[in-house]
Amino acid sequence: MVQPPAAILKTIRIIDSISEWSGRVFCWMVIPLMLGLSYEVIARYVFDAPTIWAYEVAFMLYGGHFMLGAAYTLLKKGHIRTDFFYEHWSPRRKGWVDAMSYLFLFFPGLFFFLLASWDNASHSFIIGETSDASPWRPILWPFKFVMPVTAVLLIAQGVSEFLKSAWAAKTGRSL
Amino acid sequence: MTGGEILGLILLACLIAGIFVGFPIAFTLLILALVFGYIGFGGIVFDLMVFQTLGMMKEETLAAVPLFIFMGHVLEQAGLMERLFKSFQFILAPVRGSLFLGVLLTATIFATATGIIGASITVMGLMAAPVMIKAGYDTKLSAGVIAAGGTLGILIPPSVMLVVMGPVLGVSVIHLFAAAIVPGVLLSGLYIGYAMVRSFMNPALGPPLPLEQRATSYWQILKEFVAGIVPLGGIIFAALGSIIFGLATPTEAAAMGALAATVLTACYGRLSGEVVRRASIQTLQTSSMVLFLAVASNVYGSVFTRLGTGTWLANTMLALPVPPLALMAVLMGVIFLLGWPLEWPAIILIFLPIFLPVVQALKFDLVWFGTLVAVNLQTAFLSPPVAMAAYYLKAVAPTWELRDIYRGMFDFMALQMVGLLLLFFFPEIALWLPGVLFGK
Amino acid sequence: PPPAVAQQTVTLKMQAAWPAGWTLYDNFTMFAERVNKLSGGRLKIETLPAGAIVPPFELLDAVHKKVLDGAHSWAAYWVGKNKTAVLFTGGPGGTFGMDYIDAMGWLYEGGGLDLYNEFYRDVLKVNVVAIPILPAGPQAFGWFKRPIKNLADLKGMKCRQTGMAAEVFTAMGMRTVNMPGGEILPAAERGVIDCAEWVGGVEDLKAGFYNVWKYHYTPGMHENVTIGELIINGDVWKSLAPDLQEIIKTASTETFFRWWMRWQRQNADALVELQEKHKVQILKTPDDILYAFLKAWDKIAADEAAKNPFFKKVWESQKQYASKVVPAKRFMFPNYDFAANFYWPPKK
Ligand code: NA
Ligand code: NA
Repeated sequence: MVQPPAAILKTIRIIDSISEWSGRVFCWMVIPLMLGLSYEVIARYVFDAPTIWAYEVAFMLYGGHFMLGAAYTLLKKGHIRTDFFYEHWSPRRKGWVDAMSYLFLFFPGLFFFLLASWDNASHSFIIGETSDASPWRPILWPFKFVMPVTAVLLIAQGVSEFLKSAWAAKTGRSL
Repeated sequence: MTGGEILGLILLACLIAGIFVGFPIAFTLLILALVFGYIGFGGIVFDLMVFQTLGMMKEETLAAVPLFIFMGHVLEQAGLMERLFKSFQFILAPVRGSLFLGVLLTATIFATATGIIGASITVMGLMAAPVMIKAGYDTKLSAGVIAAGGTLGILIPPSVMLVVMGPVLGVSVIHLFAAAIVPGVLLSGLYIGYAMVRSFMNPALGPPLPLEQRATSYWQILKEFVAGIVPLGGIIFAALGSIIFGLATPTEAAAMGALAATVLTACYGRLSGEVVRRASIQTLQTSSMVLFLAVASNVYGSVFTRLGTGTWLANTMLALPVPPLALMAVLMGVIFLLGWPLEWPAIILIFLPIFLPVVQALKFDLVWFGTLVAVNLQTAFLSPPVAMAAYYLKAVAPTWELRDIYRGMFDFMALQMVGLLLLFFFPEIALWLPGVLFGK
Repeated sequence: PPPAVAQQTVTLKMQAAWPAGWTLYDNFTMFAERVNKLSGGRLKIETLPAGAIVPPFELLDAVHKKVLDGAHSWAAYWVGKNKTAVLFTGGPGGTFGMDYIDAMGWLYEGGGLDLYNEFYRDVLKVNVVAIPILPAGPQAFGWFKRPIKNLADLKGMKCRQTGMAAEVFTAMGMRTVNMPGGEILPAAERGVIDCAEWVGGVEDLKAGFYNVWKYHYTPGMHENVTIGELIINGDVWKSLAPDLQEIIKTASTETFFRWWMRWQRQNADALVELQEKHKVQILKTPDDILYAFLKAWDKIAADEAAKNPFFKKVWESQKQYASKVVPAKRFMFPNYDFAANFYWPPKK
């Protein structure tokens, strides 16, 4: 069986394992989300003292969770697609369509997302922005940096997916 | 029409074409929004994308999405559905079509403890399908019953779909929850009625169970039933009760439900690091799929608005020479059609905001509208080619042909239409309970 | 021959921080109409409701980035970026006892508006021009499940509060809870919270708080003076012809007063409707609560001034201005209660 050049295979493996690990790490954010909000309810009724932090902890964990999980979801082919026609195509054709889609639909959008969100997050860092949702006022910029980090993870996984689909387009075999 | 509005219409056309290319919809939406936004109003579209993303990330109500999903995945491990189904199977064994009834009752009760459909269909498929096959039940009707029963999970609260819909419509999630209960039970009743009438008319579809599959004593029945229903009651209380009795907001209730499911699974001795890890990673993938699509849809929607096309489309629809109720029927028809190729998150997040100004201008009750959309979209789970209910079922009942599953679901789609029509002509079905609970 | 002047129409896209159904939004549309008329149609303001293009809390950044040409908003939404922001709304307590005219006086006659724009330019580093436009008050203390007689009654309650007010109330011992706007009423209905602050008068009538709670307390000290802003992107502002700039400034000030007159009348009508139709008890906020509020706010402001030089600068500028006008007004103006009680003695 023909294998792609070792460098390409290695690139795919490294990127895939990074995304795999990002998923294994970030998936745990749901646990403190669950515990934090449950604690808030218990604190409110049992101790009669609502926390000052629950609202912000909740949206920060939730926002970070689904964004940082996007690259893992891409790796697992979890982002919904319409396979109306797609599922009837040959591997080669799928490869072509995917490779072109990554080049023209995927990378340009995320590249600009990276630039613009970096700009937004660093502005937040420069002025030392804090959250305004409660008197707790935690710093907000790490939350804003979730956006460029998500973009980087997605672009990396996109490179891996592009290589896989380009190989399928060339050989008619999926990796 | 202005240049911007025309550009927006082309954007809509490209979306519909782009969706069929088969590339993940979220990324197609993003790039279309960026290209058209760039042509329409320049480089600021990139910043617009960032603001919309941030807005979604701060939407605290949506934190209920990962939590309800996590609750569903953990609950799947606890084995409660198995017990509940078994007890119904024992109780109903001598009745024709008893397994249909057992599946539907179990699915309806379980729907009040889970917010998604996957868990319900997977468990019922794993557990009920083999029994049904062994008892000589009709494949199509069996598949239809499991698939349709499972979809109740996303209509009867708690419901991830209603959580996502609340902020889109600007309606309280709790009001939507209250409104969906009666229609959910009504649909369940329609399913049961249909399955029972069919098995009564043709006993070959669902014969009574052979003796070896019946309970040996009443004690055994009681034991299974109590073991199945009591702990489930605890979860239902934690999730729904904490909302209704005023202990928690929907997001907090989702957390309480998830925690209760985890504790319960631990009490059953089925909780392990591996179980939590698997539930967490499945949760990450599902919620990332829904919510990242939500981000992309919001970017798309705001470009559409800024181009002015949304307003144009709404005004054009409102100028149509048809009475308001007919226009509403048209909207429902469009949503139904969109449900064939698309999944519910795409419809709620992309198309609902486009229809919303029309519904608001016609002064329709948004809670009623939301419930109509929810029942309509529940149908989408049962409508091929993108019918998640069929895929979940096929994955756990591999001997059933996808064609038979589709055929079986078709009848239940028809029942959904009946339910939808009832809700359409009798809005009180949805609005009565919120009226009683919240006095409106 | 007359000079060939290109009568080009300029359209500015602006978004509000509130939905179109709110009375505050009428201020925005009134402004847009005035600009359109005053400019003979040369300048059009396209008004958009909250969330139409960006989420409300991203408005300042969106105008800075020119995603929107402008916004109809409220500076205290940016206290997360820097607490000085709240002072440009007038701020808790007025501030230093100033009423609306005094607070506008500080902005226009006491150098406040220059500080306001300096704050955006140099501290928040955003490219926007700010103009006061919306007198959104005085705001009520809020809605309560049960009557309150004094500060002690307040301490056991869980209330929905946001922003700077939440910080002050927390310091006073209230248990503050935050939740999205749409969940407030359902949470109230089910007793998740015991009280909530909203706006007051007609806005609260529209929101339907009377469906849940029957005790409405007014006034509050947290937003007794609270001024909303029109913000316009700096480049957009510079690109406007000088007369159009003047038209925007004039229309803003005119809208400030014209809308305010109408709003006070609407609020007065709303109070009657709340009492007579919906059987709401409209009650005076106990004085000790208002005292405690000012004390708590002064402490928070002093702490902030100690570590935030710009806050200190603005706060002192307000204090300096207030130290002239507030005591003077006490001599020059008759006590409002004096004639009010003479003609409309309070019912026993
Ligand atoms: Na459910
Ligand atoms: Na479908």
